[in-house]
Amino acid sequence: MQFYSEKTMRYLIQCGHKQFLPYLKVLCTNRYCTEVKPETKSNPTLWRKPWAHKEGEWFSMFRLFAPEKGGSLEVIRILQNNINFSPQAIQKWIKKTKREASILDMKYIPERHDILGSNLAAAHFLVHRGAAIRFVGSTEWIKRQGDEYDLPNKYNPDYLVEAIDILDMKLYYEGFQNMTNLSSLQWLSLQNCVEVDDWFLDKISCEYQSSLEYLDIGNCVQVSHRGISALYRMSKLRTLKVHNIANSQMFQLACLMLEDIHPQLNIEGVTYLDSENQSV
Amino acid sequence: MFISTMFKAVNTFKCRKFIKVKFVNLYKNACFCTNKSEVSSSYEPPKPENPFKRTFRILGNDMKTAKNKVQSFITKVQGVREVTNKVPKSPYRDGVFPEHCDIAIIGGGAMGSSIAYWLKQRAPNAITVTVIEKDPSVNQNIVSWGQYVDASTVLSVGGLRQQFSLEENIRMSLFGAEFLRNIKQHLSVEGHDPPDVQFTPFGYLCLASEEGAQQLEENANLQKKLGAKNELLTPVKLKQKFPWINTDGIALGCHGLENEGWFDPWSLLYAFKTKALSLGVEYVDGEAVGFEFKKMPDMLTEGVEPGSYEAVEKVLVKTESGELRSIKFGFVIIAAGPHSARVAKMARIGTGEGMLSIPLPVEPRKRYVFCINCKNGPGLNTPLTIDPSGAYFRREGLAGNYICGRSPLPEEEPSVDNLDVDYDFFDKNVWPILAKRVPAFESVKVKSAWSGYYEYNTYDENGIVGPHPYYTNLYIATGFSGHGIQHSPAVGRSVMEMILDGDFETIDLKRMSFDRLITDTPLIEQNIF
Repeated sequence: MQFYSEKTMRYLIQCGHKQFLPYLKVLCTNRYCTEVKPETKSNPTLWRKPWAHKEGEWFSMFRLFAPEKGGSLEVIRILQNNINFSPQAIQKWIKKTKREASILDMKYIPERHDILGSNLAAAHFLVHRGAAIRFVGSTEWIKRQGDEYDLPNKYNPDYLVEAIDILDMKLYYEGFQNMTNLSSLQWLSLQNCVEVDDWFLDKISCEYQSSLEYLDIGNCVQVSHRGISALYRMSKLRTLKVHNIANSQMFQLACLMLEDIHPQLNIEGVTYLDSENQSV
Repeated sequence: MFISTMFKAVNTFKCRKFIKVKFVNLYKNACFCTNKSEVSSSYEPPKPENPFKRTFRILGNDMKTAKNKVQSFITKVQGVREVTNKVPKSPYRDGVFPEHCDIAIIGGGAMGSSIAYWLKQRAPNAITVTVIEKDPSVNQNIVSWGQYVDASTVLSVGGLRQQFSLEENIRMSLFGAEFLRNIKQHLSVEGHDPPDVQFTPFGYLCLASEEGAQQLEENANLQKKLGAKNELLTPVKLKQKFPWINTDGIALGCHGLENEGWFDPWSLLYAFKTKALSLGVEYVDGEAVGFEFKKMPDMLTEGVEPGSYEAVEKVLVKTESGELRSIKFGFVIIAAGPHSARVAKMARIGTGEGMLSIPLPVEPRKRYVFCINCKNGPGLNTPLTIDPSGAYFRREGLAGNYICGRSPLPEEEPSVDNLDVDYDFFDKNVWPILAKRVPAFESVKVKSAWSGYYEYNTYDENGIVGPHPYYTNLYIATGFSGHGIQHSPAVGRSVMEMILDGDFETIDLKRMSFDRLITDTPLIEQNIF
């Protein structure tokens, strides 16, 4: 019979635990994910170990089954919370759960990008959820009809996404993980998408800074003048549409200054009320 | 009969004297021992309240509030409106000073409030958290709530960047960006406006001369590996993208493309504090002036002689009205910013023996920030630019204002007695460098300036996060040397995991623990300004 040291026994038990834990559908006690492996292996706390791990200290075999950490805090919190059954609280909870589900829907799936490549994966992701795509060299928009849409199922290097029109899809910031590496994207319309705010523009100006020529963010009311200023990175931008959001003076000033540094840029949807107000 | 009563009287008299003697002696030996350090010994710990007096005081207060309730009900029913003199509203949550809590946090700036928020949102009904902050209000005459005068948080420039060389710093900044993006989901309170930190996503541009180019490239690769987006630019490309720049002496530039910029630190602090208060955190306006210790001869810890262990049990707080109270805690967290070394000394860190002889190397360093106006300055395409010499500048608003500053050389460190600004510093040290780097800055006008304290870690300029090796219930979260505000959500979460989970779960900050001072392994950050 093989005798394992206490450490390897514990390790084996933990490995087995990890393997069959998902099958038990146990409530995940850790809401914050991502394991971290430090770049260097130095750990300054190694010089002091818990008293029981020191050499020469006796421990019984029952310690193998003792949990390393205490009971789950989530269980305690659920038990201690009085569940609020008022209609407003239930409505709020429903809204919150729906939003969390939508954001989970935007998750990055590595297999999708493995099989399809970046362009087709983005196309599938968007068209399935209600947006419209146009590829390089084609003039027709690919949309979803009911549940059907016509896109290749395997990687095909000829399909490059040229234009994206969000239509009525609700795009969240996390969805951009699926729209990376679109090197030919020239035309992007996020009109009427209410989730768009300054962080979106920050992401867009990073992802598509070398290719995007047309951007439409009309009716995206959460965008402020700071987000518009962030578009300074987009050197190829020719048309920017900001209908119905360019109401404040700061916004108009930001648009003016953006047009200053990018002479080929043309901003539509802004009416400069007072030309004497330019203070730069 | 007479003898028996006499006997009883004498006995009770003896009994009482005996009990009094015993009680007084017990009290003297029980909780505290005289502290040798200079700070704590000038304050006598407050005597515990006589239990009978306390009972009658509380009963009396209850009677008064009941009487007021009945009175106000009667006046409401009668329809009479008059100014009732109510019991003055106590600043404390339960009406009395919180004499004990589970977790005491010394310091209510961004770090302290962040830790309080994360602790309370994970276990809202399981633990009580008390935050001790010494300057919450500006003007004592005006009852304005929560305006910190010389706390470093609100005087900070509020930058957020991923351009560091240490993995922990990069990860903490990435989480900080994610937290700020979702701040409405994290920190909204019912009945208040959703918090808005006014993030300006402009990016950072770090410039390096020949010597620093190699390090800059390595840093950029590490940041890309961990998920930050940046681009390395040669001087030619720099000139193309940013025509206002003068690339003399520049070999390489690193331009952060995403999740970098600046925000309003005051809004973040206010959001943290409001949310923490709504979750049940108690904010005490007072200054921590000492600790009370308890001998625990049965405690065995690594590195401590058996039988000599003394735990911290209570913190002495001097309230606004000048009275001295004590708070008994289960854990204490030192997040006092630039004044952390003073607080740590009260806990004998630096003045004791063995492990306690190593002091907390955090001291305040004054840094100036100048607001200048330039008519034809760089346009919108101006990220926060950092020169190899350490001078930086960024846009402020859209009207041609810029904010700039520079870390002084070690021999030019200004005194930290007050927050007065030395405008000569701008003329001598900041403006020449800026004018060389950006020719448009030849003609600028200084509009205003302010100064604030860095919580400068003199050992290696990086934060110290984690438990102290001697004390089992003392944690430290300080020393961030100028980039604490962007790391405050991540540090708050990590300290919460340390206390409630026992270990770091998301970002591993083991390398930033206090132990590195004992084992002498400094954690040098190559990109500090």
